[in-house]
This record gives sequence, C-alpha cells and structure tokens, in this order.
Amino acid sequence: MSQRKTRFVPMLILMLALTLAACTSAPADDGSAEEIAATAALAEEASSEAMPEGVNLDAVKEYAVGHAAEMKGGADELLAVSQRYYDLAAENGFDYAAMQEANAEEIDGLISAARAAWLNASEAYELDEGIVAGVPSLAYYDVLLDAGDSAADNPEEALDWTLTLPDGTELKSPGNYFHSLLEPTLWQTNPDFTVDAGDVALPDANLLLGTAQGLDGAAQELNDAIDAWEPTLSDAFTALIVMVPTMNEYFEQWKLSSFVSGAAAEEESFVAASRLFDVKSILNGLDVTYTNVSALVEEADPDLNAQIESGFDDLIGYVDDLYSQEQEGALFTPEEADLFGSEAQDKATALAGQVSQAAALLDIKVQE
Amino acid sequence: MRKLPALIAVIAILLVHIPVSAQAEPPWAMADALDDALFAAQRAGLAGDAQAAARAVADASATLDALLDAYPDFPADAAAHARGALETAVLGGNALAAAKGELHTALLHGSYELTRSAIAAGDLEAARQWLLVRDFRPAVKFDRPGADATLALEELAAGQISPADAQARVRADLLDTYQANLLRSLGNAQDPNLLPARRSEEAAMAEGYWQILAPAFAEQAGGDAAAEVSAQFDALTTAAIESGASKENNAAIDQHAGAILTEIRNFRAAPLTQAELTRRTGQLLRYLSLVPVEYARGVKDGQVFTPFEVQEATTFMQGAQAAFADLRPDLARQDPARVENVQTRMNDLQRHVEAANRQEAVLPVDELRELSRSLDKSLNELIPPAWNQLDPDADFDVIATVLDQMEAAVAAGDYAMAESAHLEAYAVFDFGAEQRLLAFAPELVSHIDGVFWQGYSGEPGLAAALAGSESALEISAIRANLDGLLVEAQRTLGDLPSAPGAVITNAAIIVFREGLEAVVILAALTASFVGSMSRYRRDMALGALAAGIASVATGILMQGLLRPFAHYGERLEALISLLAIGVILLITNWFFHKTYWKDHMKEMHQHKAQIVKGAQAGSGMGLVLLGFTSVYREGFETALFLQALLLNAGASIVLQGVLLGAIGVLAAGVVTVALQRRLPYMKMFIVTAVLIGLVLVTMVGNTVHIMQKVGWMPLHPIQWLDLPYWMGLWFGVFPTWEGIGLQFLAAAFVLGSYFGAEALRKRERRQLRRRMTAEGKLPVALKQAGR
Repeated sequence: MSQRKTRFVPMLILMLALTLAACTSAPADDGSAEEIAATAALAEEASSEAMPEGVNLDAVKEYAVGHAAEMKGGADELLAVSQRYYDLAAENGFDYAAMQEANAEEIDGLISAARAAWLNASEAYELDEGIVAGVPSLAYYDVLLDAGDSAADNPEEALDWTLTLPDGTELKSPGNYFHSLLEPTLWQTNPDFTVDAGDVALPDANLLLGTAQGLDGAAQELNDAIDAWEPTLSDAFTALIVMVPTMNEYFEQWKLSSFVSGAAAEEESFVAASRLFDVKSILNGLDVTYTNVSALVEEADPDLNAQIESGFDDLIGYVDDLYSQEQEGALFTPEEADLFGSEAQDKATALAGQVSQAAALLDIKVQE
Repeated sequence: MRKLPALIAVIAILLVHIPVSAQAEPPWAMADALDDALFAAQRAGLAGDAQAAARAVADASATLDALLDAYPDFPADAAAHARGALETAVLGGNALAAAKGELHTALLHGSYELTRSAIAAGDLEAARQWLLVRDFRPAVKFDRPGADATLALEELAAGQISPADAQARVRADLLDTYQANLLRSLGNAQDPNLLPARRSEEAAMAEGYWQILAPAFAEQAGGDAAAEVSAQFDALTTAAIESGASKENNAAIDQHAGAILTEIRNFRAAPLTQAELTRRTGQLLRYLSLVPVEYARGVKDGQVFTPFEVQEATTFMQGAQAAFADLRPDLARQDPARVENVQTRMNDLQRHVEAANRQEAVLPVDELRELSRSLDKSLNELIPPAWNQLDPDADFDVIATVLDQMEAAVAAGDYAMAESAHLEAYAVFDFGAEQRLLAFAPELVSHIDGVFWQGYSGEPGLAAALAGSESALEISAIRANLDGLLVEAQRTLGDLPSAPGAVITNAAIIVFREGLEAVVILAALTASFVGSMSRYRRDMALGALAAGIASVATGILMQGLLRPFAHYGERLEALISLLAIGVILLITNWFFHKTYWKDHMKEMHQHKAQIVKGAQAGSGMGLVLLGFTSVYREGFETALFLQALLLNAGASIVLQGVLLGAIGVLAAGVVTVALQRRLPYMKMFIVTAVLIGLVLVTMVGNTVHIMQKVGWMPLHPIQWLDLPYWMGLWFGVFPTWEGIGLQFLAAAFVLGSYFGAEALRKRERRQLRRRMTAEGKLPVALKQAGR
C-alpha cells in the first residue's frame, strides 16, 4: 500500500468505527425511545387531525375568546368611567367633600356606571373562569384577575405582584383585581379603599383609576394569551378535572356572603353578584368544554360518557335551580347553604373522578 | 318542628307501597337516584316540609326495591344496610343525614363485591357497569383520582393481563380510595365547625367505608380486633347523630374517633406492591434529602431571607410525610417502636420547617441539617434494603414537584428562585433517571437535556427561557413539552429490556463507544512518538493503564461507597473534564513547541541525548497525567453509564458485555497503532495535529455543556441553530454561544500552536542556514539533515 493510500487509513477506520457505534447505540428493542416517540407523535397527530366527529377544541377556544373580549369591553368601560371620576377629583384638588357637594349627581352616575361595567367584566370573566383557571398555561390570569389572595390575607400563597397607582403609590401583593380591589372599592365594603366625603364615603379615585388601569391591562394580556392558546385534549381534560371539584370553595364563600348571611356577613367581596352565579358560569364553561370532547369518551366507553353527561346535567341543573330560587327572592339559611355546598361537592367529586377515568382510558395526560 | 320526624315516618309508611314505574336502569343511575332522593328529603326537612321529605324517602325505598329486583345478586349484607338506612331516614334530622351516608356506602359495598364477582365470572360487561358505582378521592393538586381499576378492566378485556391481576388492581384501587375517604370522613365527623347533620353523615360514611375494608383488616389483625373497631364505628355514628350541640357528645365523638385511629393506624387495606414500596421509598428519601438543602438556601443567621426556598422545603417535607404515611403500615409490621420514633422526629422536623415558613421561629441551619441527617440514617436502618433501590419513578415524581415550584416562582416573578428550582429538577433527573436512560435511549436524553437547557430542534429550552425572563405562559408551555418527554422517558425506563442478550449488547456498545473515544485521544497524542521518541509512549500507556484501573475502581465504588455522592457526580465530571482540558492544552503546547521542534533540531544538530533528557524531565509526569486524564474521563462516563445496566441485569451479565466491548476497543487500538506507524513522519505530524484539535474541541464542547448544566457557566442558546443530537453526543457541539465560541477558541489555539511552531522552525532554520553559511558548514549540515 502506498504512503498516499495509507495516509488517512487510521482516521478512516476510526471514523467508520465511530459511525458504526453511533448507528448501533440504541437497542433494537420494542420499548426503544425512538419507537415510543414515533408512537407518541402518531397519537398526537391522530388526536389533532383525526378526531371523531363532534370533537371540536376550536369551539372551546372560540367560546373563551368571545367571553374574554366581552370582559375587555367591560374593563374598557370601567377605565373610562374611572378616568372621569379621577379627573373630577383632581379638578377638586382631591377634596372629596367639595367634589361631592358640587357634583353629587354626576358622581352617583359614575359610581353606578362603574359598578355596571365591573359586573359586565366580572360576569364575562366568570363564564371563562372554568377554562382559564383550569388550563395550566392560562391559570396565572385567574389568580391575578379573580382568585388570588392578598399578602395580608394569605402571605404564603399570595401572588407576588405590585400595583402602581397614578400617584406613584405601590401596593405589594394586593390580591386580585375583581374581588380584592375593585369590588370593595366600588361597593365600599373596605373603609381603607374609600374616602370620607362628608355624609358619604366615596371610592378613592387614585385607587380606583390605578386598579381600573391594571384590570384593563390584565384583560388585554388575557385576551392575547387566549388568542395565542392552542387548546389540546390535555388542556380540556385538565380544566375539567381541576375546576369541577372546586364547588365547596365557592359555596363556602356564598354561605359567608351577604346573599346568605345577610347583614351578619363579614365578607367584603361577593356583594355585587351571588357566588351562585359564578358557580353557574364556571360550570357553563366546563360544560362547553366537555360537550366538545365527549365524542371521544363516547367512543371509548359509552356508559361512562352517559354517566358524565348525566353528572353535568345534574350538577348544572342543581345550581341553576338554587340560583333561580335566590333570584326569585328565596333567602337560604347558613345550614341550607352548608347542605347545598356539601351536596354540590359530592356531585362534583364524583364527576371529576369520572372524567379522570375517561382521561385515563383515552391516555390523555392530566397536567399538574 | 318536634313532630316532624313522626310525620315523615307516617307518611313514608303510607307511600312506600305505592308502585313505582322504575325500570332496570344502569346501576349508576339508580345509585344516583337513591342519593338524590335522600338529599331531597334532607332539603325538604330543612325547609320544614315533612310531606315532601316523606315522599322523598318513599321514592328512595321504591328505587332501592327496583335496584334489588333488577340485580338480585346484590350482596345481602349490603342490601340489609341499605334497607336499614332507609328505615332510619324517616327519623329526619341527623338520623336522616346519617342514613344518607349509610345508604351511599352500602351501595358502594355492594358494587365493590359485584365488580369483583363479575371479574371472577368473566363477565366484563357487568364488571364495567358495577365499577361505575364507586367513589373517588377528591381531586387535588398532585393527587388526581386513580384510574387503575378502570384501566385494569380494559387491559383484561384486551387480554393484556390475567383475571387475577385485574382483581388485584381493582381491589387495590378501590380499597385505597375508600381507606383515604374513611380517614377524611372521620376527620370531618370530628370537625366542630361543621354542622351536626353533616358530621352525622360523615360519621356514617366512615362507618360504611369501614364495612368495605373490615375483611382486609380482619385478615391482617384478626377477627376480634376487627369486631372491636366495628363497635367503635357504631358508637361513633350514634354519638354523632345524638350530638346536637352537646359538649359531652363531642367528647364522645373524639373518643371513638381516637380509638379507631389508634387501631387502624398501621393498617393498609391494599398493601403496596414491591414496586410501589420502592417508589415510595425513593420519594421519601429524595424529598427528605431536599428539605435541608432548600432550608439552607432560605435561612441565614437565624432569619428567613429567601421565603420561597423555605416554602419549597415545606413542600418537600409534606411530600416526605405523605410517602412515609404510605410506607408506615408495612414498616410497622417489622418494627413498630422504631416507626413511632421516626414518625415523631419527622413531625418534629416538619414543625421546624413550617415554623420558619410562617417566620415564627427559625431553627439554625446546622441544627436542622443534623435533624435531617439523623432521620435519614434512621430511615436507612429501618427501611429494608429491597425497597431502597434507585427508582426512576420516584425521580419523576420529585422532578414534577420541583418543576411545579419553578412555575410557582415564575408566577411570582422571582426568576432567580425559578432558576434554582430548575437546577434542582435537572439534578434529580441527571443523577437518577438520566443515568439509566443514557444506556438505552441516548437520543431521548439529548432531547430532554435540550428542553431542560438551551432548546432542541426548534423547541425552546427552560434555562434559556428563565434567563430571558419569559412570561409564565411561555414557561408553562415549555414545561408542558418537557412533561411529555419525561413521560416518554418514564415509559422507556418502565419497558427496559431485561433479556441478557440486550443487556450484553448495550454494555458492549457503551464500552466500545467510550473506548473508541479514548483510542482516538491516545492515537492523537502518541502519533508522533516514533523513533527516538517512542519511549514517551510508555509514559502515556502508564497513565492510560492507571486510568483503566481507576475506571474499574470507580465503577465498583459507584455501586456502594459513591452512591451518596451521586448528587455531585456531574460536578465531579466537570472538574475531571477541566483538568483534562488543562493538561491537553499544556501538552499540545509542549508537543508543538518543544518535542516536535526540538526533536528536529536535535536530529539536525546531533544533540539528541541532551534534549531528550531535558524533555523527559519536563514531560514525563505530564505525559502520564495526560494519558490518565484523557482516558479516565471516558472511563468515568463508562462507569456511570454501566450503573443502569448493573441495576437492571446484575454484574455477571454486564461484565460479559464489558468484555466484548473491551475486545473491540483493543482490536481498534491495535489496528490504529499498526497503521499509524506506516505513516511518514511529516504526514503523521499533520494527522496528529488534526486529531488533537478534534479531541480538544470535543472536550471543550462537552466541558462547557456540563459546566452549564451544573450552573458554573452562563447559557445563551443560538436560537437559529438546529443541530442533530449526534453532534452533541460525539463532538460535544451544542447550540450555545459559550460552547461553540470556546470550541472555536480551542481550534484557534491548536492552529495557532501549529503555525507558531512552524514559524519558529522556519526562523530557526533561516538562522541556522545563515550561521552555517557564515561558518562554511552548510553542505555538511544539509547532508546530515537529509536535504
């Protein structure tokens, strides 16, 4: 062999050997990662492209997008009203008594308008809450908008965020926009959020505008997040399993709210709308979600699907009935509220368990 | 109101015989109807409508009759309990609430027995129908309702498992669920904040669950003990029904509940399988080991200065307690006194961590470490060695918990804390599951590594996202992707081949792959040691031999002594890699500037003896060290990778694979050396330079990667660069600016050394030529030089 030919032989041999080793490094076994990955990819493909008729995750997204837009509309209205209220206070040098004296009628109108806008935004959000709070990638917004405690109430669990008001005041971990900040301000259930204006107490304009601005920004962020969201079956089943069994918490808040406890209620939140409405709305969003995936469960286990659908009908009918009675003037006692809450929780626990069985049968991952 | 119960009773008796048009609906629908009927009775009772309450109880009785008619195999004792419950229901108030609980659990009892008998009879359709009548654990974060019974029936139907296996899984799932629910109901029955009716219902539910579990308890503790507990439950329900607002009866409830808890404390209705025991043990020890780590990060000078870390310590402590609670019954059968002792100390540790979390009292870090260390020691003595195995499932559980903490930190806007949790999660993966996975699915490891760090094939990486303070949404999406990969990894590890042939092949491949890398390094470094310099090969061979012995020793030590230090394995690997790079840089410089150049000069000037003497003095130890570090780096990795196979198949089978791989490496080495010798000196110099460059660049890439993994170096991914996994596996090329940048520098260093040496050589030649020309010796010198 000539020198020219032997020059690169060692390297060639080594390269060939290395290539051989690289090619054979994965075991030729049934459980190889490549095969599992390929199977997973096929399953994902199947789940996104070849779904049975009736499975429509886009419809779930459309539902969420629609209500998020309604919520943003409410937040916009609230911001406009709050800005006017703030301007009025500023024109009066933040002398609330003077402002009230000179503009009592307009102030009444502004507060009513702000409350109406808050209700529009909050009620639209509640219709989305089952999905937003239940989908891990969106859940942050639920804590910020509707569910997070303040550091004062729950230092261990409070979301770490800061609200900066127009005058530069910073509120550290103040809780959520709807129930910790805006509701007590607008309905004046927290004296720290109001200002004495002679005979009446008025919302603190600085706080109101700051929180309305914050809510508006957060609402926009939520809209963006939902727009960008690409719902998966895992998202849908996770939302159902996470959010269905939260009935107890809402019923407990309802029991302690003025809707049940009347004047004895110490809750500064949940005064504007009954918590039953929120439960009803959350279940509505979850029902929409299940309806759009139930064809898969029907295919895997028709009896289980029938049980789940019956469970949804039962739970929704149950809450609707209570809410209707309340709207018609029925006043429930705390004992009744307790009974209703534990019954709702039992139904919800069973329903979430059944949905978990369906997820397992379909090999759909439930996210933590 | 006082006459209400009597009224309900009378009306119910009148109504109960009215025929109903109940048809044989599915069992779950009838069970729901029974629950609903008694709830309607409760609701009517609260509203003071005795007639409606009685009607509801009557409806329930009719539905129960219909169910028992439609399903005549319904177990007699469960049917008797259901009928008894309806007889009590007419009393209203607390008794009605208790009846609701009793009726519900009687149906569960019946469905449990019928599901099992249907499996035994091979009637899967009936088993499925009855399994739908069941309770679930409440779905909470980290503890979703189990579905093992449902899946077992599916697998049985598909012929994947035997009826006996299906029975065992259905039994375990349902009994586990009912035992957990029993404890929850017992706690609720004792809760003075709950209304008496609710407490009555919970007490009756606890008793009903007990009736399902009692046969298992009798098997483990004897019939007398079971009868004693049953009596306590009976007394508890009675006390709850009679409680009202009476303090005496509250005390009675507490007393009976306390007695029950003492009796069933070490009872587990569905004992854990060996695999479950191993998994829980893994969880317990890992969670516990993380408690002092997080605590120490959060506490300084007796004060909490990073609350998030202490909160993490609390979460891990809770995880450890949950795992210990699952192991406790099995451990208590071996040594109840020691179990009590450990439990007390675990509670003590938890109390300290929680006190710090609330910032009430902060135990000094050293004291907490000591508590933890001593607890760990006791647990290791208490837990049977068969359970205390490396368990990848436990790793994945811990990783999930830590990644949850990471997401919580991101949600709180604390990216430094999130990065800390991210590192922790990666460390658990790296030293547990990854080591096993590397032996079987290296591509999956690269994929997971990529998503953990800089990204992979266009998929974003967690470390890069955290470094860029990406939104919670973005991080959550990456986490979801990572979760999917980790599930894949978990499945892969669950399906590992255990056939000796597959294990031998894998071991041989690992040894051959790593060995070839060592051969490349040695070939590169010894290529030029020909002629008078061949003695240097001896030094290199000595180092390589020592590395081989050290690698074998490392492998043996990893089986035992080094296991506690596994956590530091990657840092150790990073240090070894750094040392190897340092040595190779020195030697490269020496090689180009001293050996090669001076060797030529000495031949030209016939000063061989002096120069070799000088070179030997300076290079002997260096060459030994070079041989050692270069080979030991590969040996260390081989030892790490082989651990997985040793755990899977044992030493004798793995050794066969090692032998096979070693033979392959030896053959490749011999062929390489033989062929090398045939290359002319100058060509060999070029080949050597290329190989050294290749080795150095690969080593630098791998070292940067590993240093980024242990957090010793920042990480900035090259987003647009998409590299296949083998580029990382074989050449240490990962798409980060630091890695590729330093690899360029390393290449520049080798090229610089080469061209520097060449320039020096030419200059010396020119000088020599000038000097010889001046001295009139040029022709002679040229002849001597062979030119």
